[in-house]
Amino acid sequence: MLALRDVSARYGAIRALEGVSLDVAPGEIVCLIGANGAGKSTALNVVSNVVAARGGEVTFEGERLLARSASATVRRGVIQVPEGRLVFPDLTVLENLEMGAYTQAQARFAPTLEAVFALFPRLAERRKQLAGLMSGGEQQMLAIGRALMAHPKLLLLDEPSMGLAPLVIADIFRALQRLRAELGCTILLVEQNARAALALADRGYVLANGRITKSGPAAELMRDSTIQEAFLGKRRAKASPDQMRSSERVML
Amino acid sequence: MMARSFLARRYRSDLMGVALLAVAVVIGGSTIVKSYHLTMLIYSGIYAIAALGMFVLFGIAGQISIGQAAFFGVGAYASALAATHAGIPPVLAVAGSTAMAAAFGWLVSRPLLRLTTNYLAMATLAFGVICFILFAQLRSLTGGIDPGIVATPGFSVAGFDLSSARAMFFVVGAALCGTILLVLNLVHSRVGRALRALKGSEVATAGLGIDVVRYKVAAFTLAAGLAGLAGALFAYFQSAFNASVFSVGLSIELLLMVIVGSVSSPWGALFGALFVTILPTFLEDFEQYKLLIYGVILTVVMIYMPDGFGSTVVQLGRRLTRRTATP
Repeated sequence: MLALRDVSARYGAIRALEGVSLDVAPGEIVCLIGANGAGKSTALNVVSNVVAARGGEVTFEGERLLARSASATVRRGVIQVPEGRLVFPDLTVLENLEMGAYTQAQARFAPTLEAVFALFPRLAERRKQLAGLMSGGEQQMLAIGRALMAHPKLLLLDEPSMGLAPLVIADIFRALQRLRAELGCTILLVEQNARAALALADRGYVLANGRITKSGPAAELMRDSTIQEAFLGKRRAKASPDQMRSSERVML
Repeated sequence: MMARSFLARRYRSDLMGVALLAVAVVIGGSTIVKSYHLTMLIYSGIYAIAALGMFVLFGIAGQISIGQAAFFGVGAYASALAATHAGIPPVLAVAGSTAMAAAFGWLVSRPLLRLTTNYLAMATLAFGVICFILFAQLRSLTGGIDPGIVATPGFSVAGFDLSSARAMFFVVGAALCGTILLVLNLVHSRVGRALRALKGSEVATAGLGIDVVRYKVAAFTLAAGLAGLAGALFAYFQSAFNASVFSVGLSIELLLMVIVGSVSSPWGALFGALFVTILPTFLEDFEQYKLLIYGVILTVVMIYMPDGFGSTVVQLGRRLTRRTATP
């Protein structure tokens, strides 16, 4: 469905991506894990055409995706849930969702809204509330809901767990699972919380310093001991193994 | 849907507000005796039109401009020159200068709006200063600081002379009603929602497939056009003026009107314009300290009433009436 071939990107002199290739098949949940600054968000931003690639090829459903405008990408059905959620704070929940449906026909609005409310009942309760006044978890639900309003074929999720409590993260990830089961969404997920991401995903890629260093089925990656170092880096060396394990259990 | 009917209700009460404003204009225009009071209200109305443009740009779309005086000036000079040299009928001259200011705004908005926040503020400030210098130096066209524009013919419609203060009061009142109706419709439209989203997060707005640049340019163009309309009315009412009017001071005052009034309701612009126009008359003895006092007011309002002085007063009033209504 989505294919990246040898994609490179840079910010000025800094190389963010170096010859990245990855595939996402229809109906799959694929995660991209890696440390801070590994290039995970850049990879998503290249796909959504928020950041221009320097080289390589991105195809979506067999069509070239690179060098289109961000809005043209949205119209093709590739929707990004941005890092840090970025809900519209001065708009109500309902208005945020209406913004999500901006590119969609009026007739599809009501049924889509119902589906989003079914997935996140909390949003239905809060529909009149200003988005800026909601908790981080609710804002993340809203950000995902807003993206769903645009009928994504492929949903790009950038760090949905960022700054959220473990219980809330579990809630969000459960919703993502239902999202695939009920709405047939394909998902490309970028996460620092590798354990949670690998538990959800079918397959995973590990990104380090702008390059893919490892890939495979999520269950396999989860067992891989070298993976730990690839994205936990120094932090792992500092914390004792026991501490680490217990904190990871909490995250799950 | 609940939220939509809530907005629809807001819209209805806003329309009621416009009707009340129109009634107030008619009553005020026919009962106010002192020409001084009429004059102050006319200036307030003129500035309110420009401030409403500023509200669209700053209050709704979240884009700052400290250069609105430039468009105000373009409107004023265009209509004055059209009236004195080309003999164009006033109504056409006002419409033409509004369009000219809007076109000028559209032209400069593309490079300016590549910038955001503080950088946009600085760039628009510089743009305003450049235009002020041009107004002052292009003496063959504008008359500069001295003598400036002298003896613009009075306003008239289809041969009816409307140059008296009382007649101008109605003209400005009508223009103000029309402008606020336009802005209210914008606020409650799909475009208005997109602009409010833009204020919240430009990245997220673009990420939903919305052409952010187009909306920003549209807001800037509208704000420039309304500043031009205000400038054109100003030129007809004032009949003689010079470039000093269009200095950075006016740009700052227009911004002040929105901040003091309200950044979330167009009605705040009316309140802010009235406040900023009338305040100096109470400060006549403190001429040197005017800017200092403005600074203090701006700071206090931004710290304690981030939604604007006007909004705070309205909310306070609502809270009081609710308390008395439900004992």
